[in-house]
Amino acid sequence: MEEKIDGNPLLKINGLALGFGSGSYLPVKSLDLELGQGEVAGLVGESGSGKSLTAFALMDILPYGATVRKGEILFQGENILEYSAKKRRELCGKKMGMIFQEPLSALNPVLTIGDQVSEIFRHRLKTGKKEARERALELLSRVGLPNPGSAYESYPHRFSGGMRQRVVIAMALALNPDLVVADEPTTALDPTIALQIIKLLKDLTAGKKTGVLFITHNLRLLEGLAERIFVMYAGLVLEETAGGLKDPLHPYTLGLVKALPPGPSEKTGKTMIPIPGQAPSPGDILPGCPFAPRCLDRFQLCLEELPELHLLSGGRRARCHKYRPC
Amino acid sequence: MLKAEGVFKSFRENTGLWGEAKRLLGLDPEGGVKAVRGVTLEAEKGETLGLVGESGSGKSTLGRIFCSIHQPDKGRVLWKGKDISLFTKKERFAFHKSVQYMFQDPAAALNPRFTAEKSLAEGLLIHGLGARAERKKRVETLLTEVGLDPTLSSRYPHQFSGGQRQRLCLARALSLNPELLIADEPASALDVSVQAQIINLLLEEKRKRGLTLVIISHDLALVSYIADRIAVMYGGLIMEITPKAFLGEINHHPYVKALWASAEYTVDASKDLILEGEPPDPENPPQGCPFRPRCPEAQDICLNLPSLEEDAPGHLSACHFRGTAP
Ligand SMILES: Nc1ncnc2c1ncn2[C@@H]1O[C@H](COP(=O)(O)OP(=O)(O)OP(=O)(O)O)[C@@H](O)[C@H]1O
Ligand SMILES: Nc1ncnc2c1ncn2[C@@H]1O[C@H](COP(=O)(O)OP(=O)(O)OP(=O)(O)O)[C@@H](O)[C@H]1O
Ligand SMILES: [Mg+2]
Ligand SMILES: [Mg+2]
Repeated sequence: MEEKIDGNPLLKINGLALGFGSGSYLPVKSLDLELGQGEVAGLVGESGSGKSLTAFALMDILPYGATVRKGEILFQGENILEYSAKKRRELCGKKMGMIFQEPLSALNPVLTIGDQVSEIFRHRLKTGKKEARERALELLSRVGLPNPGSAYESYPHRFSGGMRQRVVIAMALALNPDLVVADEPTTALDPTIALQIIKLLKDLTAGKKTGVLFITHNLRLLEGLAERIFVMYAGLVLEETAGGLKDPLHPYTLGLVKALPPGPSEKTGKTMIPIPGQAPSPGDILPGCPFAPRCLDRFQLCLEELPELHLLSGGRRARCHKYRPC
Repeated sequence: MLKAEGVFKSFRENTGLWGEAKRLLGLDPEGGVKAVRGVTLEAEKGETLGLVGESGSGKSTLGRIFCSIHQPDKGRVLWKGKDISLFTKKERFAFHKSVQYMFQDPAAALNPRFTAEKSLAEGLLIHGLGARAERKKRVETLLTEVGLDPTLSSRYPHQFSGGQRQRLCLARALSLNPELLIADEPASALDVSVQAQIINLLLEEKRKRGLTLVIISHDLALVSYIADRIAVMYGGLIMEITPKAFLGEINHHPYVKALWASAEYTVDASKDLILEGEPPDPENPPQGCPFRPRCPEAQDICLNLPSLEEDAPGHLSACHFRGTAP
């Protein structure tokens, strides 16, 4: 289904574990994720399950004290965790781009938009001032800013949320990266602007075979955007879907879908039903499946042994004992 | 019960030397960012009023005017028929107990040096409610109600996840059993299961105590699920007020139509559902209707600001064509 480079997917993360300090607390316990060239995949799940930390690990910008404990990150077939710091920086600047949840925090308030965008070309591609300016202007018009010339001279605070997000997308896409990680890029935007941003992201990546990892809580928005969706819970991927969220396998994913409110113009009388119980506290170490205490389908084994991420028909995967091969 | 009457609010900070000069020269007497530009809106006793609209349209500013965090530049706010700016000290104290505002940004609302318990007990202490042991008990109940483990009460804000902090804010807003709660994006950082839990908690408070609720959100599915009436803002003004029964039944304002069309987030939908263009610049709003520059139905008459008028029982819109342009 996805295209591969030399037989390798664009990105493959195997058993990634992330921890703080030297303690036993692992916010990301074992993460397996794959993304093809030109593919848009979703990353969803419990708040606090480690989605943002995973993105930071990819981009080599983990917060202070956080380290990679285990696993590998294969980018175009090479384990980038083994790269030297210099080579890694180079890679993250040129071949990977990140869109942050809060665009203001990604922009420098005291520099004009133009300075910030042209800086990328001057610093990374060592272009001259004039060429950098031209390329920045071209990029700003490509992301649909109505007046690139005046945007170039403006400071970020003058822009609306949607315009700022366009600038951040422009910066993430400046060097035609092979991978874009978008962490809740539309959460703070109203739906009309959110749709513009998604469409823009789709248009800009479609022709270039750029892979996009899209992190969000908005399941409705992922429909029609991503075929493959990774569902996280307590630092683990519990499910990898193949056809969006139409036919979920894991009881946690099913619970999420049941909790959704009805569509805005649906008059079905559907109610929002939360999953009973609480997510485990970060420090809790459970021997079995982390979702088992809340799972209506659990049996004894679920409380004793962590299930594998079983490969099922159609390339789907579920970390659930219900699907263990007999 | 709580009514804003013709309120205006501009922010003059950070307009720079040029902005200041323009103001002094009388070129721009209002000056600054015009966040709210003449709004009349009432939350009726026991109802749930939804407030939606473009990012930057003034929803949070209006919410803060409602509960007297901001003073309006013009217009007034009435609580049970009395102007809150004329309150005696005692009345003001009672008002601040009865009307609670839950901040959009939990980081801005929680004191980083207070434990969760101290944050939640603060209001009880100020209003002299309960002895120490009773307060402790109340805090435990509140934490449980918002789905947090009471043993976490000795933690500081940074030790919680974003979604957990959002729930702390809600618990604090509910701690004084307010008559009216203004919840600004109460669920944006939560996965859908926790969202459902929070929405059910609010519905329960309404059922049990007749809580009046104003809910501000970009999630139209959520708002149409919980609200009895929905007000839509654009460019500092209210474009439409719709009772729930009229949703999808009435000819909407062109912006409201576009908003609802986008709310399904169908990325591949026909192109005309995607609204082009940028929201208005709040420092230089367009002449007349703020939606005019993006409106597919705009005519010359739209250079005059339309007023918000009733066009069906309980349904108001601010469009010269009442949503049915020739
Ligand atoms: N600086 C930090 N110190 C200690 N724990 C942290 C720190 N940053 C994150 N964590 C913890 O790591 C876990 C994963 O955090 P992360 O931000 O990746 O979650 P997330 O899946 O992105 O959640 P959300 O959907 O709320 O954004 C959380 O439980 C959080 O409490
Ligand atoms: N304290 C402030 N100082 C200066 N400008 C402000 C301040 N608060 C709000 N604004 C500006 O006022 C306008 C309205 O802001 P407000 O926060 O009310 O919008 P909103 O509708 O809540 O948007 P969002 O959906 O993004 O939360 C924006 O242009 C914003 O930049
Ligand atoms: Mg996150
Ligand atoms: Mg707001």
